[in-house]
Amino acid sequence: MKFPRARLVFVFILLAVLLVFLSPAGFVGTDEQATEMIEQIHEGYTPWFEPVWAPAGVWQERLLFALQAALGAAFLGYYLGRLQGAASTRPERRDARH
Amino acid sequence: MHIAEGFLPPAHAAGWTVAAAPFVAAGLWSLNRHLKAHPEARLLLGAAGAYALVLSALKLPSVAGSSSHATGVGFGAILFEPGVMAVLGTLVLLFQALLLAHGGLTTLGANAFAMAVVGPWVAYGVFRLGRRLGGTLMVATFLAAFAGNLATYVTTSLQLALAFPDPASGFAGAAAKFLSLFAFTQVPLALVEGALTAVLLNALVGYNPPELRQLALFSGAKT
Repeated sequence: MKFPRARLVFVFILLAVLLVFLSPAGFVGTDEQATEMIEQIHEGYTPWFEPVWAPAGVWQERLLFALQAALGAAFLGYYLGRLQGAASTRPERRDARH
Repeated sequence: MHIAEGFLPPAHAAGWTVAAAPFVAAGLWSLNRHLKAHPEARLLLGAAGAYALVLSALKLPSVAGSSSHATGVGFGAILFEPGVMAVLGTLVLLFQALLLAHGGLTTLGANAFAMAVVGPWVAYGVFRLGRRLGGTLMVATFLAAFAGNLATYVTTSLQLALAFPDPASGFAGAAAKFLSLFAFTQVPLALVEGALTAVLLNALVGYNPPELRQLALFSGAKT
C-alpha cells in the first residue's frame, strides 16, 4: 500500500540535511566567538571539564548535526503528512492521484 | 547560543542548574498532566520537540562572516505553554551535549535556563500580548518566536558576563561586550526563526486537528 506521507518526510529530511551540509564552513559560530571572548576577558581561563565524547572531525560533526536535523525533520514530516491525510479524507473524496 | 562544556566556573554551573531545576520539574508535572488529560496530544508534543530539534541543529550563516543557531522553542511554548518546553528544550540540549559536544553537561543548567525557560516564557508572553493587542496569529507568532530567540541569547550573554566580569568595567562592561558580539549575528537569525515558526503554526491551524482545538489558546483561533 502506498505511503503518501513518505514523500513529505523525505523532502523534509533532505531539506534539513542539505541545510546542515551547505552552511558555509568559513562562518565562525557565535559559540566559538563566546569562548574566545571569555579567554580575552579572563586570561588563561581553561575549561574545567571536557565533553564526554566529541566528534572526531568537521565531517563527523556535520553528519551528526545532519542526523539530529533529519530526526526532527522526519517526525515533523510524518506529523504534517498525517494532518494532510486526515484533511484529504474528510467529507470530500480523496484525490485520485494518491 | 550554547555555553561550551567547562566554560562556566563550577559555582556558576551549579547555581544555574539549581535555578533551572524547579522549572524543569514543574514542566515534567505539566507535561504529564496534559498527556493524561489529552493522550492524543502526544504527536503534537512530539512535533514541538522535533521542531526544536531541527532548528537547534541548524547553524545558520548570518552577517559579517558569523553564524549561530536558532532555538525552535517558540513553537511549543505558544502551543503548550512554556512549562512543557522546559522539558523538551532540556532534552534537546542534553542530546546535543552528549552526542555533538555542543553545549555541555556542566553548562546544561545554564543553557536550559536560557533556552528552555527564559526563551519559551518570553515567546509565550509576547504571543499573548500580541494577540491581546489584536495582532493576527501569524504576526503574534512571528514576534513571539523572534523575541524568544533574542531573549535566549541575551540571557546567555548575561550569564557569561556574570561569570566573567571585565577586569576594568565589571559585569556591565562584560555584558556589553558579549551582547554586542552577538547582536548582529542573532537578529537576522531571530527574524528567520520568527518567520519559520509563523509559517509552521499557520499551517497547523489550517489543518485544525482536534489536538490543537483542545489547547487553551487555540480553541477558537481566528487567523
